[in-house]
Amino acid sequence: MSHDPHDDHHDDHHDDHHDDHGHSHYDSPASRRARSTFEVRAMALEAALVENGVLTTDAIDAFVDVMEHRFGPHHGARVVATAWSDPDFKQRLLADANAALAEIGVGGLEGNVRVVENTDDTHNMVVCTLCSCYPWPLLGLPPTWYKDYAYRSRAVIEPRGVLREFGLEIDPDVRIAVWDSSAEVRYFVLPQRPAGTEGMTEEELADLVDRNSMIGTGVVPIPA
Amino acid sequence: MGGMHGFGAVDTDAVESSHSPLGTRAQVIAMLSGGVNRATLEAQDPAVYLRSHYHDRWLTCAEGRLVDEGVLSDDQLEHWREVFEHDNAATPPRTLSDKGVEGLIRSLTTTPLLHDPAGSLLLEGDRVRVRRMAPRGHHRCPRYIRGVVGVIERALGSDVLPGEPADSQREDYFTVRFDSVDLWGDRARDGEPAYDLYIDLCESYLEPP
Repeated sequence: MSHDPHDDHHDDHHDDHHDDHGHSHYDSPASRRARSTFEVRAMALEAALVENGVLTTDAIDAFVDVMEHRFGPHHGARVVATAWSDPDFKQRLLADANAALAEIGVGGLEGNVRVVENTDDTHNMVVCTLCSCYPWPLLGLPPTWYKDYAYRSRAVIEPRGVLREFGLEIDPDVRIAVWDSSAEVRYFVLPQRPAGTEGMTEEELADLVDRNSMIGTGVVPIPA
Repeated sequence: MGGMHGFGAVDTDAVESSHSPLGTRAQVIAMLSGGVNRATLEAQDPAVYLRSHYHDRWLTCAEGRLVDEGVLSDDQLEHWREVFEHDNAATPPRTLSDKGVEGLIRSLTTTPLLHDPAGSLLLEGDRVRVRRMAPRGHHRCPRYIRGVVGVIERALGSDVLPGEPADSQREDYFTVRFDSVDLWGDRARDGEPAYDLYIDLCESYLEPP
């Protein structure tokens, strides 16, 4: 719906960027296909700012590296798995998430976090109606749907309808709590631990936890 | 845009964070160059805002503001666009910072916390009404909660008001809980039984119920 007509091809090489740690993005295979208008404009802006001495390339590279590699949903999944396995950590996480996250070295920009717990009585979901605030250190950059107008406009007025579009039917007896991130605190959902995972290690548990379950547009399913 | 109609279903398959591999880089360049913040993003023509991709908005804002401020010229941008459009091997010039990037990385991986309370008399459990207001420019109070009564669920500490410089006067912030029936009426028959809506607001957005 919001696609720029000049730029409606999706990039097939996105995953390649996980391998080019520390190198310029322009070394990637993506640079060998035709450039979109957006890419030409972005490169021109970078070139002009570097040329004028406003920015240096190493600073840009370092910032992108933090956003794409140091932050990400793997941290969020690890936090969930630890909280499921260690009741004391879970208690600290719910009482003061920033202190608990600092213990395990997770934090940074857009990372002032409150963790809200899904229970048998409450299902939490997170939105930012004003822009697209998101807990970057724990979840990385938000998925496109989180930034799109459909989600931003409707999550606060028809949460069950939106969740249904994610394939999620929440029991009518469960109260929904919608968190509209409007100031400096970012919200992170601690999903419920599924049945049948009693013997699992933290690593195995973390593998079950996907991004949507930590935004509240998904739940962690019972493992097959 | 909370509560607006007409945007259709959520495209739940749109999962990449960017529509282009350079999307994040463009956003980073806009942030680092000081060209863009929420206020400049929101000052865009609403029709352009709604039509454009997230990272297009960042890029358009940065270009406009940096040219307006004389940091760059249109001619310079045009020159480089020609280069990159016609030469697929061309890439932007590479430079290194004299002082290294460790300080930048440290600041990016340090969590920004709120300050101690600034002395508000509001307490958790107090009922408050969101002020009716029509502010111009950047603010952080969505329209759909204005005039509605909610309950303070948590005091968060203090911070400067949105868009104000870091050394400005701080205000206390609160998480306020609203009942969906107070926001939108009873919508149980539309398949939306009552739910809770939580949102963080500064004291000057609030008044007695």
